[in-house]
Amino acid sequence: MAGDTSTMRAKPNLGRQVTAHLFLLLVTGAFMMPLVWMVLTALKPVEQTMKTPPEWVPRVWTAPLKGVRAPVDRIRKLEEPEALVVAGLGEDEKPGQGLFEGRRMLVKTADVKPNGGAWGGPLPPGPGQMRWRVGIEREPRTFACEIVAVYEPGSWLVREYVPDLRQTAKAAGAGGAETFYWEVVPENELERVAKPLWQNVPAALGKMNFWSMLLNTLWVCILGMIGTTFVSALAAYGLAFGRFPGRGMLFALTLATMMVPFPATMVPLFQLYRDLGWIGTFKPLWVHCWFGAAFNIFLLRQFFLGLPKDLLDAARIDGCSELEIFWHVVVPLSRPALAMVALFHFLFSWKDFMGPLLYLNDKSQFTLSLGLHAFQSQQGGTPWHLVMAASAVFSLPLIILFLCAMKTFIRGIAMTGIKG
Amino acid sequence: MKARAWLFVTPWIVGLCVFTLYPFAASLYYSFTDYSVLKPATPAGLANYTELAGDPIFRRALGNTVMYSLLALVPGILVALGLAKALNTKVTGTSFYRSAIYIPHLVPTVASSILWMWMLNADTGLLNALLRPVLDVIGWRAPSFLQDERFLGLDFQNKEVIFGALPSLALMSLWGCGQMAIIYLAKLQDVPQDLYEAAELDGAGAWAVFWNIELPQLSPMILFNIVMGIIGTFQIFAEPYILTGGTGGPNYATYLVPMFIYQHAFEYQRMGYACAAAWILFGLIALLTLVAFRIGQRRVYYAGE
Repeated sequence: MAGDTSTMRAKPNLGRQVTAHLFLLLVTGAFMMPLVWMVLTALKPVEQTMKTPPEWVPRVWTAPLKGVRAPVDRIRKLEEPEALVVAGLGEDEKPGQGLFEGRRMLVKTADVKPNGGAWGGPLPPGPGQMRWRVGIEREPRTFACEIVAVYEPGSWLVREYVPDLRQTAKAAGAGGAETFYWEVVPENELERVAKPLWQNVPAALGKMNFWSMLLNTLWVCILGMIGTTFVSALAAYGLAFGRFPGRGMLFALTLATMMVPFPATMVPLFQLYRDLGWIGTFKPLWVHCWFGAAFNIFLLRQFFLGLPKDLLDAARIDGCSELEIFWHVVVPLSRPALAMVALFHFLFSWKDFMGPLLYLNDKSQFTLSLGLHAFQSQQGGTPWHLVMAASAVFSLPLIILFLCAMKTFIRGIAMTGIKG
Repeated sequence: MKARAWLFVTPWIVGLCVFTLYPFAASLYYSFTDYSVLKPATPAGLANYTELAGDPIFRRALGNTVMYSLLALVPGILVALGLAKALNTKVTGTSFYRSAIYIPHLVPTVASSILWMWMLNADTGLLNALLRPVLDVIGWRAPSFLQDERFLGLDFQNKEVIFGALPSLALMSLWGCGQMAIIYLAKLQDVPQDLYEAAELDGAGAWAVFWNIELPQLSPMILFNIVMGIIGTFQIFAEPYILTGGTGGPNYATYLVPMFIYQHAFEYQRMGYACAAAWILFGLIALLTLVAFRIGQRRVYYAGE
């Protein structure tokens, strides 16, 4: 079987080895490239994802914010001197109801004056006044303010890095005003550094409601996995060792149904589930697994037939019932095959998109497949870093599963290649 | 083990009947009716089938499906064979290579479709970013992949590489061919050593060994892959649905039969029509499977049978 390297042939030939290595490196490189791209994109700021030509390494602008160098988004470069002020009350405003009261604002120096000074004059820190056009009003209103600092043209307005600018809760809570921390820094303080933005990952997961979708997915996967493994094994045992009329026909029918495409049963199945009141529940996604699956039965039957027959006969002579033989002899001996069937069902179910698309309506029930698709299509594909972060986290469990259970996988893949 | 055996297979028999045979037969019945969710089915004879025969969109979908199947399967099997052959030269790091080529197969369809949608983006996609510097040298334009309804080719007049939406879909499926490579590798490792020794005595070269020993040994597996591949590719739904935002566009270039069935059943509420299309799909799968097995009987080498 697979993994048996004693049957290796062909004299070690240096030239051929080098060619093989080069070819394999090239192809593996090509195969891994999209995944590497996915992970790297997930760790980039959104502006970098739009870059042409694309950049591989996540790079982000950093600036000292509150005394600590932190990732920032550059908003704009100042074109004329502007003053940082803390706004106070307007002419007719009462304390507590001021339009900009207490808010940090960036105002053109021409529209600020110190108390006792003139518009456009020098601006020493301290109390003063500012002019600001509110909304569509023609004339600017005058507000009291506290002058903090004056910035020269060429400085940058930067904002603390936030993975997701459309964090609605935060924006709404602040009345659409100052939602994210910002500062003005001189250009030479800005620095673009290679830095993975891990904060993208929790932001993406939170936004797509990952954890509840994970629970939904696990529920469907695990219920189906237990059912299909157990019931398929039972059926495979019956088909392998049972003597009953029509056994050959049942096996042939089982094989033949593998040819039936899902679309050919989709419409009546949907109606069946609707009549049962199962649409909008998880049941259409796992109940049928508890009645077995053709491919699994086929695989397990082939495996069972390869088991040493003497053991089964010995158990039978010892007076074991068929169920006991199944449970105490066949199941323990078939662990690798059963594990493989379970794993492959888990994989299939985790990846399944069409089933959930057909049967689930409510967002609270979405599986990860459906949720990721909804996330991507609702975002219109703009925040690619978040979409990629969610995709990567969605794929990761299967890859970890594979790396942990590599033996079962490789043996299983080879076993699916049993002569048809 | 007489009466008892029935008990073991009973759940499966029930499942087979309820979840496969009944819906399968029912959809055949519906295919001869005029049926929407709101009204009960009324017999319509062959109307659905004659309408399908004249439906340009269905014909397009059918043509696309066959073409996609070819584009996905043939290169897939060839690349998988090449990979298996290379892995079988007893290179160091086999398990690393093996994992690396298999892992893409593990990426869930939705994630891989979204990833490829972005990589295939004509303007900001990674693929064109890699292609463009090369094509710029000779002054050619890069392909626009999913936005291009055309097929494959080189437009010398406009100096443009044509790589359309349907081939793009197939390219994406090629990414998952690692599974096949691993199956072939396992089979190659099972090739009896004495065959190689005999070949060596005869002075056979590497190519002759592959053609006369390894390929025949692999042939049952290749046949199996072709059959499962036909069945699989004819049911592809999620990839084009996600890559094209549920449209099968541009201009039906990636519109495959399963999407036709899905849309008619669940969006246009024409269940009978959808079932007829599904049965044509099934008929085609059955026919091609039969043909593959027929050809296989003559071409495939079964050891010890």
